[in-house]
Amino acid sequence: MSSAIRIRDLVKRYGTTTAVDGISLEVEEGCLYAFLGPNGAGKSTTINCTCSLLAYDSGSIEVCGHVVGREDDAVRHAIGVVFQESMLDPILTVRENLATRGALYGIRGRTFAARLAEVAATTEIEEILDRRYGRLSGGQRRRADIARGLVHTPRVLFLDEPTTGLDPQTRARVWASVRSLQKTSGTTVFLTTHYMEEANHADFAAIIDHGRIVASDTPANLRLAHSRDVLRLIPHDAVALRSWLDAHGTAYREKAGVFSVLVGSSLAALPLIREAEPLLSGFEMVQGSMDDVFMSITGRDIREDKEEES
Amino acid sequence: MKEVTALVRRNMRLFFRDRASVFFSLLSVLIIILLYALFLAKMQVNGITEAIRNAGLVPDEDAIRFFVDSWIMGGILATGTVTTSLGAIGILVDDRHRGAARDFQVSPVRRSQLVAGYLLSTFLVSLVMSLIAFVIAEAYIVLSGGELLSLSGMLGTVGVLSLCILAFSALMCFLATFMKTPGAFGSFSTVVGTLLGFFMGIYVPIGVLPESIQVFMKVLPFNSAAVLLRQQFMTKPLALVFTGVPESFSTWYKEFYGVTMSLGDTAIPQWAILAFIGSFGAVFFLLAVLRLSRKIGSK
Repeated sequence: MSSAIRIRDLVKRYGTTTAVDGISLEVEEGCLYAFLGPNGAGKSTTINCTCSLLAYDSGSIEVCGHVVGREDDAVRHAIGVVFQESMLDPILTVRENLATRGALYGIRGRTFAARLAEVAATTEIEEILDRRYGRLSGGQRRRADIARGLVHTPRVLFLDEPTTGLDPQTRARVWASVRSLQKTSGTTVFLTTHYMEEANHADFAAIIDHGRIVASDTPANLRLAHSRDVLRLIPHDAVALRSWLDAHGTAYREKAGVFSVLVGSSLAALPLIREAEPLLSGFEMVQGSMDDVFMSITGRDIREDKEEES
Repeated sequence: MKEVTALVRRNMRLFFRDRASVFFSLLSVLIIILLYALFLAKMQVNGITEAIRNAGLVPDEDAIRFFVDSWIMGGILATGTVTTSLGAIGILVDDRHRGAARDFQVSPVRRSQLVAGYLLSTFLVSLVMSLIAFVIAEAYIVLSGGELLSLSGMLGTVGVLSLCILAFSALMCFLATFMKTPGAFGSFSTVVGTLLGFFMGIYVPIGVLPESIQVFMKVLPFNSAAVLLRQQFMTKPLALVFTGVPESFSTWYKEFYGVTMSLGDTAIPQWAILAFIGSFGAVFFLLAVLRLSRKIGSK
């Protein structure tokens, strides 16, 4: 399997601050790769360097075998970029916007018309093609932005915080678009997000903090290694369960009559449930989240970071 | 080249679809016309009428009106070449502010193509707007009793307009690269729009001003642009007003109204003024290309 993106020891400094501090990563072709981390961790800087927008201090970046910084033209043909902010012209229609951008890649006339039909279908923007970009809703704009990123059939699509600021329903829809384009066209997708739970949609995730990658694996493996599931027990008789748990030396937290017990995995909870069954009226398993993963790796809650910055 | 065409089309669409920007880039022209029609025209007409009467001749009021109208319209068209260029290059400032420039940068389009796109679209927008202003100016002159410009006068006007627009759109592109926000650019436009009328001798004839100010105006290309356009507009009215008038009298008047230009006692021929604006434009064209290339594609 060849790599769509290969980054080696990337370092980017702004004056005395080191925004990216020796990042190395490899993204397989056709993969959906999520780059996770709090704001200011170095996600956007890494993306900007990889997209040939920003010169880097040391290390090397290859996109589809082309060296960024030396073969920028080839890199730019191979990539599509969806920026965090809207970049299309508000007073032009979506179609006009896409036509202008397409022309920059030499896509015009009939080729463009055919391509437009394809990307419009993938991103579900057929009905809004002739509306002015500036009059669209946030979610519609985002889908038009993604269509722009796809207009030249790039091999790698970068999305910088594609779901930030969108409502949950729209976020789900954007994810569905991204997933379907990755599945149907085999486009490699590299995206950043600070919504940890969104990483579950990815094939592979890297967690970045203070300019370094602190963990990278499949989301399932990350959860397995760094988060624990929670077993919630609902008792008939709270007093009986409490003494039972105490007798067994099991640590628990009690809240509103529900007892939470940390377990290694769902399976590890089975013996406990069986033994305590007579005392229970019900139970549920809560799977470890990506938020837990971030917290256990960095020792901080990702949301705390956001509070500090805003 | 097709990339440039696409960029030019996009820039022009952005300008013309934004009715406000179209209106405001013509606004300074409309304001001067209004000021002129309400206040300034009468004053100039009276002044010339009296001077001719004092010289012991019979003034032809209609011809004088035609003369003054043509004088002001030549000047207004000259301001238009600057203000419409300025209006058109606002797109560059917006693109850099909004980040659209980054979107262009991740595409394989060359910097030179982007630069060409901005320069060309600025020139074309300004040309279209100036031609509209030209039509309005001619309509005004004819409606207030003057004559339509001759064919050669029209061609000459379009030629001079094109040269001035080339020069001033290059200058404005250069200056616009220093403006980081649309707000700063807006204030800059206001200042330019306000000062321009004076630099070009629109509100009052250049001859009214002190000698030192006159020299200052003459070494800047703005007044020269107005002089060139007045020459196109005023051939006929000059002939009408100053038939039978001593040549020294008309020579003085031409200089006073900025239809001719001399430095010290040396009259500057038309070709020299053309060359002056042309070389001014060439210098700023190079500067604009340099600055734009640095600013648009800077990593």
